Amino acid sequence: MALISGFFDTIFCLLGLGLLLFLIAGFFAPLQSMKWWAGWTDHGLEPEENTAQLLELLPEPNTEAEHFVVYLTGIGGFSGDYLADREIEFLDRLKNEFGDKILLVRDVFPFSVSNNPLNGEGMFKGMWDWVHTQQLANPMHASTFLICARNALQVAVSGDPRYGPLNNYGVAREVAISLLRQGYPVGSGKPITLIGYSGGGQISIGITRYLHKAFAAPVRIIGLGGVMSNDSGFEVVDHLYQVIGGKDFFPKTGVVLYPLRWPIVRNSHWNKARHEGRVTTINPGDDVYHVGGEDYFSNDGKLPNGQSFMDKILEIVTDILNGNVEKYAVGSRE
Amino acid sequence: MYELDLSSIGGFLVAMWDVASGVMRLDPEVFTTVMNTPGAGWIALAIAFVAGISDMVGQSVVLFANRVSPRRFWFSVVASALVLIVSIFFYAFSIWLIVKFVFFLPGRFRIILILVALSYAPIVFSFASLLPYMGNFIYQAVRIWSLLALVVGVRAIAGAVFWQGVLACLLGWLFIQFVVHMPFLKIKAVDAWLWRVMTGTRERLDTQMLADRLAEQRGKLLRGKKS
Repeated sequence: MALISGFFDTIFCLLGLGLLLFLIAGFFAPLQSMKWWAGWTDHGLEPEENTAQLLELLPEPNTEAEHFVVYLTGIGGFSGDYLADREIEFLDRLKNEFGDKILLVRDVFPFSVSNNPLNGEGMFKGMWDWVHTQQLANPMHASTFLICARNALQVAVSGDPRYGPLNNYGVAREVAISLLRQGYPVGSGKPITLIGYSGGGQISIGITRYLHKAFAAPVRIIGLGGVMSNDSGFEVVDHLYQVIGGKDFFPKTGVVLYPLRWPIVRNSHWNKARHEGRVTTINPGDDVYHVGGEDYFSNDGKLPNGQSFMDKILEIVTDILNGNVEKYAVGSRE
Repeated sequence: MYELDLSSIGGFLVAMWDVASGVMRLDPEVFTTVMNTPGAGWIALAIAFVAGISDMVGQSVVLFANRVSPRRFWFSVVASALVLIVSIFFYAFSIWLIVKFVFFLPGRFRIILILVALSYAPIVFSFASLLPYMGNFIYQAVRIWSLLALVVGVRAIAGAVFWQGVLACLLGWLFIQFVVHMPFLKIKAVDAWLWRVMTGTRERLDTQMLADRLAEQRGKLLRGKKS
């Protein structure tokens, strides 16, 4: 009996300690973007002259591409260079589908204002190095929970109206730089498509406002299990296609946690976008889950017709990019 | 039972902790103890000062957003705590006026000042409003907690005239709001001046406005270069 009691005491003690550490991490979460904005960090917000210099170095515009797509990973992301194998496969296949007609940005880390990897700086560099080594060896290693917890806090920062604008401006700036480096034709007004997976969904809606202002171009979002707040980005987003698997309850957390997304608040950013018909919900399959072996990028998970979940998502994204969206609009418009 | 030893710095700090935690527990006895202990008014003001610092840290996004330097940041945090103390004086004075000239009761300014300053004890946790997402709820929660502390304090010291005491606090607050919004007093101008002095920046802008403005500027620069 004493052994069982001691076991539970230890468990509760560890849970309490974990919660305390999470709260402490929460206090520091907004500081990354705030210090960057205030110019307290080494790579802070650059002055306007530097922006002008950067523009001189840009390549010739890519006139061949028709689709300008930015992929923003979920809370398991570590850096702009790292994507899970299944995400890489998905993006490679998307690239093959469109060839030179698509310009694909996949090197922006959505949970950093300066595209700095988790092990980029700071006193926890050693810890993040170790966690990333474990992640590379086994993406489901227990220590990757730390990455998810840290990035989940950044999702909360992005969705907080106090911090969100500054944080989202920073990420939008990194996305804009990456688009320009790859030849996005400025002034063309060509639409930009953001694909946001999981927590990348919130970052997508967060940066929409600033990409729209900077490029004067329509911005649409394809959310794959995207978790989103009532972000002011809904005021300007051209269209949100939220792809939500039948077994994926994560996107619902956004609805529960942000009261301004509740239907009763008719004038919220989210509800206005819904009423204006700018939100479409697509169910890729009743068995599609958020993470694990049966997630959106799964080759093993199959629909009743034998199509893999990965193939289905690829089909949906291809249809949206090609403008074949009518079949999804029927009965699914929010 | 509270034993307040104010004879040393250590004793003062322990007394501060005891009093603050008593107010947070909404214990009426702590109010009467402080009122009846000579020199304990300083404890109330010290608690209000710490609350002011914590409150500004919790809302420090406004300082970061307006790009104040680290030195200015801490200067602003301390200065805003002093501004809070001044505003507590004004609030206590307006309550005293109401007690004296509306209810014709024998209220002492010192007692009212200590009561109001002590009620700020829960604001000591206002730094927690830094937390993303939950911060907004915490910000409201500590204010409601502070209001409850004020009501408990009024009950402890006003006794039979409890409702008059609560009403005096409410009317005092309304009176302050009325005075602050008198155009000829130019309180807004004073507020803007205080901001400039504390932060060294021209005007206080909110985060959405700042980010929008910058995105538009950079967008114009971008399109101008390429057109």
